[in-house]
Amino acid sequence: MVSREEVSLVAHLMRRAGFGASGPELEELSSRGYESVVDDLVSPERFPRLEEDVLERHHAEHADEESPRWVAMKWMHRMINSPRPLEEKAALFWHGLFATGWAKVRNGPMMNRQYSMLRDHGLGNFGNLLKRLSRDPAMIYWLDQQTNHGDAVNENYGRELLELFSMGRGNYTEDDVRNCARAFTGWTMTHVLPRYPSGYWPSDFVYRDEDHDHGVKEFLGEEGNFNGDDVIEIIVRQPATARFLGEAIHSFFVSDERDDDAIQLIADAYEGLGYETGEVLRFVFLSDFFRDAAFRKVKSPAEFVAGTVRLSGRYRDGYEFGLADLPSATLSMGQELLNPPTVEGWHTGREWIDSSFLVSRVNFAAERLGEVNAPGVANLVERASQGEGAVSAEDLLDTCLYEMGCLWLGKPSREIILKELGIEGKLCRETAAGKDAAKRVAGQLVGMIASSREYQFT
Amino acid sequence: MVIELEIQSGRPSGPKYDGVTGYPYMLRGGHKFEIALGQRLALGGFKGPMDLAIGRDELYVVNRFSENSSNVARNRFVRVTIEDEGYEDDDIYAPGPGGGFESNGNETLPSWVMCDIDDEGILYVTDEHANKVARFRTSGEYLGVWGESGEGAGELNGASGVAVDGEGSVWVTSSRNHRVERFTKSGDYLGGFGVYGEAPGELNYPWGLGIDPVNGTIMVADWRNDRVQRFSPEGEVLQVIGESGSGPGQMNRPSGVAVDKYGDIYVADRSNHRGLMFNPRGGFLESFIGDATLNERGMRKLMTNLDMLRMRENVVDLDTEKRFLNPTSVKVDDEDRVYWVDSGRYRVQVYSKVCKVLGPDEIDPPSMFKDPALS
Repeated sequence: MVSREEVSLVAHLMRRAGFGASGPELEELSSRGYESVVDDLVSPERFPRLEEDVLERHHAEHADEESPRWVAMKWMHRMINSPRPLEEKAALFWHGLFATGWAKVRNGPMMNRQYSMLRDHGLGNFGNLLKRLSRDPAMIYWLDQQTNHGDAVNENYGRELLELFSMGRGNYTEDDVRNCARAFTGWTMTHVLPRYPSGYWPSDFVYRDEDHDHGVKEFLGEEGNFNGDDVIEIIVRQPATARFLGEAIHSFFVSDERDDDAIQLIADAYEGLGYETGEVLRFVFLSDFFRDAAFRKVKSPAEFVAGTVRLSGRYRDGYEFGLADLPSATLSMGQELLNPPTVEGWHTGREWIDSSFLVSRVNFAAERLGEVNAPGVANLVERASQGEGAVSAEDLLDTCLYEMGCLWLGKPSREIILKELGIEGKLCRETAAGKDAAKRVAGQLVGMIASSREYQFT
Repeated sequence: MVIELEIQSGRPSGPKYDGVTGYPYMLRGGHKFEIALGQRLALGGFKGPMDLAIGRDELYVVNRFSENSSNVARNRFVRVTIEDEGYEDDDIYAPGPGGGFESNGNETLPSWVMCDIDDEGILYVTDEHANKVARFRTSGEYLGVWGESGEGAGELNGASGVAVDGEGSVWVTSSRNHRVERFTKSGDYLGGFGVYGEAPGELNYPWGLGIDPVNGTIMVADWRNDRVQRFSPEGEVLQVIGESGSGPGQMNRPSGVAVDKYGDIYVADRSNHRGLMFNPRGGFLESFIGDATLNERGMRKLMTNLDMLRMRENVVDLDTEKRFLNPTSVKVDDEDRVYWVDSGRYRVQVYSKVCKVLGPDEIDPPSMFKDPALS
């Protein structure tokens, strides 16, 4: 018999390494043991990719793959359904860090390729990921890398690579920026046909040797005829890079509150584990600082929407209509997937919450989880209200919290909900009418929990 | 796997017709690309072209553009007329905001899929979420809907393919019930066939339909089984063509199927981004990968935009522009033209068949059904 504490810990893991799990899913996962679940999460190749033929068929109007909304829809569908949740979560992490936006790129197939690259390689070696990122046409166009010529250097990509993607400000000189950019001269993309009359085509990476600066470059204390790959090899070895990634991983996967000791442990793991992101995340998920960090982060809109919809049991089948409402929902909460506001990405943590975004979040959750006919909600209510004998509203509240994925409520929220419910005494479940009443109350409780302050946290 | 085709057609059995299949003997000479119709939507053109119906002198192309539940209003037909030097098109049904369209019963049709036309010029279009068949005159006049959602015989669940046969019956694919249902033009249920599975005669999430113009048999794009199957109107399986893969004659989620008057079978091999052609016995003959050239409309669009013109001049290889992207449907007409609905590229690619039918006074036909001795 798995303890409630063990189930709660796995629930925390699934919220952070995935997009949450329901009570029955958590019981099944917990029976395998926490470490085994972590092992599966960081080994996505053990599980098949999500089949998407039905989804693509019933959204056949997107056969052109032109719309960024379509890419975002597919991504939301994967967040909800993928048997490899950490792949999608890692893609979301890297998308925030290597923020590239449709607003400038304006090419659906290219944005899709970048997202797919982040998903496919996001749990691999960090150096390899940076090398792929530097060859990604959407990134090249986003940061004007196609205008970085041997005889006319454009420092944009070189600067952001150092400042925002790997080391952070203060850990390099302006000369390093210049020489980094020189190493990437000639790294460009193919011209593609214009979108009229037949739609968008994706570009491919192309290296033009005649446009590359073959001169000697001094970079971060090393000297040589470096190209982009050489520069990346140097970057990934830097202690500043380890620290930078440690901060980013801690902020995304662990806590909104800074913890320098934990960040240093992650940085050390990065260096000790050969810059392998999946292994670093394994270290994080098995650490005490991670286990102690439940509900210390504000959910990002994508996490909030995918997790809520996942709990509701909706959109498990690609046929279901209305999937495009989900990217619209994250947009109304301040996060438009594939279109971050700037190259810095989104401001996270408490900044996800302002009065307008909060209203959108509460309305969305209350609406989706208040839909008692949604398969996930119906199942949840059924499980929460089953059992024999009388049950108090407070016990029912605890059962609902457990079935919703081991959620937690503070005392003030509990008191408000119970007061609002206004049930004196216990609910008798001996009769059919009594069982129905218990179900009705459970349904109300699910909606109320979804509207609580605590539901905003992960 | 290929099941031997044995159809007694009722056609005269003479020296120039095959006595078993009923199709005329002919010499096949391949296909010639004719024209690409349509362009990305911009003051006319296509958005989400899914299927077409062939009228007397024009085509009716179903366009589907439904993104979310509050933005479902842009499904529409585009009428296309092929002219001597190009083509003309115009919307015949472009509903305003507020729903797929609002009929007398406030029906909302969010997800148009496929269409056909009957001998009276009435268009039929399926909607896979409403599970309805809507009818229009070619003028665009809306004539109402029929069809009931459900999982029983005669009910629709994921209505997709539609085809009107020579007797005026309307066949509709009930994809998620893994069945094909037969109705009168006004929607009275006449019967149907199909059961979930992968054995011959069983179906897995079927999509497009085609009626053989010679013998009235029904071709079904057995989408998730990666094959097409031929059925008699009574539901007896007569032929199975194709298997999973991307090699010659293999299929990856075929969505449309058509048969021409010579019995040749065309398949929209959607996820392989190509079309396939088989002879009446199911032997693989030819692949279509797309040959579109810029039509006059496309040229006009480019000539008014210098940025696009400059971009185009810098492209090294224009070949990619010619190719299919997710072709969803194929239709054939009486004049030996083949129409591929190239959904991902906002166009219809039209080919004409090059062939010679052996007339009564010409040479004796080669035997279609005996392998020549190998030398």
